[in-house]
Amino acid sequence: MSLETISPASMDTFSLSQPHTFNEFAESRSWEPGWLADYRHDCWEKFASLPKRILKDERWRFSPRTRFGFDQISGLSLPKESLTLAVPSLSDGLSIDLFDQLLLEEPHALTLLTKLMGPDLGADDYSFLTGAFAQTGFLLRANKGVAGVSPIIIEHQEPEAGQIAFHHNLIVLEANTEVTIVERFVGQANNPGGCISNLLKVQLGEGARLNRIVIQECSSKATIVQMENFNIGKNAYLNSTNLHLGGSQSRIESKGILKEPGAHFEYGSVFLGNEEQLFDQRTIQVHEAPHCTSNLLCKNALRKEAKSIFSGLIKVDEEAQHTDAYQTNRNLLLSSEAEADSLPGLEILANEVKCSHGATTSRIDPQELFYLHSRGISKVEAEKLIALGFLSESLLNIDHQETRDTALNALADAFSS
Amino acid sequence: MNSLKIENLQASIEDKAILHGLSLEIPKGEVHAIMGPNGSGKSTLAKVLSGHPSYKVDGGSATLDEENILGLEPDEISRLGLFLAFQYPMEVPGVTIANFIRAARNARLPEGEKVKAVDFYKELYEHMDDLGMDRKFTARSLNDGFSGGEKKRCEILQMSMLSPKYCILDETDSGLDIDALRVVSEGVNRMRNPDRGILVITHYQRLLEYIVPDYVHVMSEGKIVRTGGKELALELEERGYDWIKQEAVA
Amino acid sequence: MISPSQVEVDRDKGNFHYDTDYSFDAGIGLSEDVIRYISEVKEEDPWVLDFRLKALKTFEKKPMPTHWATEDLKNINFDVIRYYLAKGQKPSRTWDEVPDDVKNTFERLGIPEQERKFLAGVEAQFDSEAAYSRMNEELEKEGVIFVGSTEGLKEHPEIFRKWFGKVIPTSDNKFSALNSAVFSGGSFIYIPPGVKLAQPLQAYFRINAENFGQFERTLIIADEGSEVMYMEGCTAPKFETSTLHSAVVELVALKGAKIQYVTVQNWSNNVFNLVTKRALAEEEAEVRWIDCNIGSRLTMKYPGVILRGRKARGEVVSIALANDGQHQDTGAKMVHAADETSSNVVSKSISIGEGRSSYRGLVQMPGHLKGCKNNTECDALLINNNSQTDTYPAITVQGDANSVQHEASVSKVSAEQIFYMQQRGLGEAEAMSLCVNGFVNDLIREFPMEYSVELKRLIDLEMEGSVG
Repeated sequence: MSLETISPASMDTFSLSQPHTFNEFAESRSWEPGWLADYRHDCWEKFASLPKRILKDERWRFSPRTRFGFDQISGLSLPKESLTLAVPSLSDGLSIDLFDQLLLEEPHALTLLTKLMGPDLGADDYSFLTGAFAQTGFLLRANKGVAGVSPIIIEHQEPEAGQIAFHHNLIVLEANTEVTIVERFVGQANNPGGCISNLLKVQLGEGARLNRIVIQECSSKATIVQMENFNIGKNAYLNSTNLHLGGSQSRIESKGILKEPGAHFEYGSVFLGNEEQLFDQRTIQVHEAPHCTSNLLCKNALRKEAKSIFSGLIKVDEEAQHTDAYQTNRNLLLSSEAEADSLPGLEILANEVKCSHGATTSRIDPQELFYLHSRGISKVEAEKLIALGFLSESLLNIDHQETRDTALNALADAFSS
Repeated sequence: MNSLKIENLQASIEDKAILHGLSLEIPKGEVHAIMGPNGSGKSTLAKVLSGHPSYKVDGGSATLDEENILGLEPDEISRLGLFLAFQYPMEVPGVTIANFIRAARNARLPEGEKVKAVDFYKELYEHMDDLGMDRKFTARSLNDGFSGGEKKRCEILQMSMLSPKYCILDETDSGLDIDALRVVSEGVNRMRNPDRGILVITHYQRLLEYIVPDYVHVMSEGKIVRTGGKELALELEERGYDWIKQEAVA
Repeated sequence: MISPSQVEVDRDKGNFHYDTDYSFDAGIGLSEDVIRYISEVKEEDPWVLDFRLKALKTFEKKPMPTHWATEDLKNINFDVIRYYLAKGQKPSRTWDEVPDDVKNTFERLGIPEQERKFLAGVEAQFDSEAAYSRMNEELEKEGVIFVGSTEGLKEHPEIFRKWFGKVIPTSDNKFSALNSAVFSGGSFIYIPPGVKLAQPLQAYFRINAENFGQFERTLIIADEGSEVMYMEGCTAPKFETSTLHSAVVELVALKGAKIQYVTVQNWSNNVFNLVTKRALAEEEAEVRWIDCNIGSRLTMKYPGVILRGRKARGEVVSIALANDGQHQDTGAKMVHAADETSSNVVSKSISIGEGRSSYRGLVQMPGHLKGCKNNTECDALLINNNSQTDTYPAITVQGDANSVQHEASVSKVSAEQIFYMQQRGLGEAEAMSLCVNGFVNDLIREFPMEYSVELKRLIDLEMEGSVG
């Protein structure tokens, strides 16, 4: 079998719940290094031993979990088309490579992938399956002191209907580096719905800075599962700004771990929901070390029958004195059938802390609407303006102008559709 | 002798020495001013004398009417009669001004005794009227959401209500507009009497136009480097602090 | 109004007990026989026995809610608890008739004195049954009913049966099922239309026996346009082994009625306090839960209001104080089920030493409703390095015509605040106490005068030894 791996056609009974699916897959990858084979096997075993049906899993509270099932999936996507890079000229010591390519050229570079954890916020099935089946992903590395000037663009392609793409990614920034990446999730507008399971592990060394912008514009039928775990070192800074537009159902799990003093985690998320879109977002800010700060702002605007779930937790360990941590969830409901669920949590074990969370869910202020109305702006247009203003707050903070414009335009386009 | 007497005081914070052998005596009935550039240790002196737990005394002595105050708890020093008007008064949500001052007054009485509410409020209102404070203030939380001027007035109100033997005013003029400065200064001047010593710490000469000191001391690098009459303040205003520093070095 | 200094309180006030001979004892452990015994002793109607037996089945089937709640629940051993202990089933109408040991208990707790001073009615429960129950005669003439659960179901079924177990179904949770199986005592109250009680009704719940479970059942029905304030206090001695208190409290506020339910709980540190409290508010009715949780090993209590009528209002005001070895897991549930309903939750918790306070909230607003509002604020104060606090709200809002706002913050008393207060002559402990009292001050004002004084002193006593 070729390195291109098995196509759906090569396996007549592809099913992620059948052991033979994995066994055949593993066989087709027999050329891989032993440690990777072991890792895949281990992940598969963990997946297979997950309880089949958990009645009450707090990590899935309010979520219609069946929408994230595997029944409709009949094959794996081809890795080559699944992930592409647009790389500016890179400084020495800064590199970005694809998983499949590295596997041939420098397999050892991937071992860290198997050692770092995922966010572990509930989607254990997707997490283990990604570990078991991923054939692609990107590996971004920056050696000490290197700074990238232009953003690196990474494009995750939604697979054809019925297929699933597993991407297993790693970012390792050594001390005093700075990199900006833009991850785009794209799909064909009329695609009847593929699935992307994306697992990202990030490790920032002392004083490293990572700016990450995610723009997700998959088809309206796609299933998207994003799992990301950010390990932030001493005086390191991580800023992740996320715009979610496409997909029929998305599950986002983001974990920021402030591992050493001076670490900062900045997270902004924007979701515009339409039709029956489901946006299920789980975040956690883990303060393990003293003198760290984190700030999270998640905004959802919901039209038609869209539903959002925000579940966030700030966890401050006993050692993490002098923590400043904030978490905010704001929901704007634009139709009588939209629904927003909010679970903003705090678990504080240190006392020298400044911590707060806020959650609001409301409609457009009728006074505000009237004001715009009275200036001759139609009701529809006024609603759009207000909602856009509400959502664009996080996006306006994107430093890179071109990316900022891209994000703002994508948001405005989504509103007009 | 009845005075606040400081001799060769040395103090540090987090192993950084700030006061390098400071000596000063403020007899009852006098008003002294300490002026000095930022970072000269003026506020440290106020904190050390009040027993702030972050500062460490490395040597020297400080007595209040010949009674040692170094090493005592802040509340013990306060009850001995030293009052510090803070540069940045702390906000204490939920604790009303009236209840706070009452608790402080009760702390000065023998155990089990309490101030009578009627007398207390009468006195409180008189002082508030003097300071031009609305009586509604008594029900507000201590310094919580106060403007800079309101905070400073509240400090002077506490000072009047606790009638201390010695007062230290730490940069009381900072953040005050001219009207507030006048009201606050009048409050302090009302408290001038032969049984009370007052130490005014300030960066600017302006305050001393309202509270006219008997003596002016210049502080630099943790020491008193020059002492003079009130005219010294004017000289400093004109010439700045640099010439003092240079003289001190020379 | 009484002057504050007359109210004698002590954190240790409840820590005493008398050896008491019980005439009725259902023995140790839980079984169908125990339930039949309780029902027989109480001479209950067959439907009540049926209700109990069904509840026992539900209790046995229900798992412990440890998928979200603390594992400490697993330390409750239902097999060693005594479920029913009583000297008799009929409460006395005068204190003179109350047996001496029981009377002495309540006198030490100050109940008869409070009754004389400011209460419209009192019920004093000693283990499983009320030992004393009496209400102002004029209120009786106006048709106010204030009796125990047994009497309520037997003598006034036409009033109480309709609502009994309807606000909180047996199957609501494991402990509501347990209570439904073995309930005894509590208050059944009916306020006729338009009757507004000027003075509060009070119940006092006393656990006296070791290894005992107290399962009182309270049902308050405020008919149209009526108003009532009900206060409950609770204590237990400090035993070596743990004690279980598991009440079910149902409130029904009919059109335009107002109910205020005030709790000051001062359990000893061995009590598992697992209480289900919920109210139904009809059109323009108002229900306020005013709740202070001090003491106990574990308290789980989330008073709720189902806002079923237009413009109904619900409120939870709560203070929780968790000291070493204690977990106060409290919160609020607001279920909006009619247009223009509003709810408000204000919760403040203080964690001292290794104490842990948790807030759990639930707010629901379905999409077919309009003009609903909820506002929730929860603030936590941490005193020591090893104190803990958690906040777990769950908010569901549908539709574009409602609004919800939730805010939570965590803070501590800063060293600079303490220094500032010390500089004015206050001792460190006193300064700390003043700060803590300041933190909850706005909520303490919501309690009746007699209770707010007691509360402040309880807080001061809890603060002792927390500094230094």
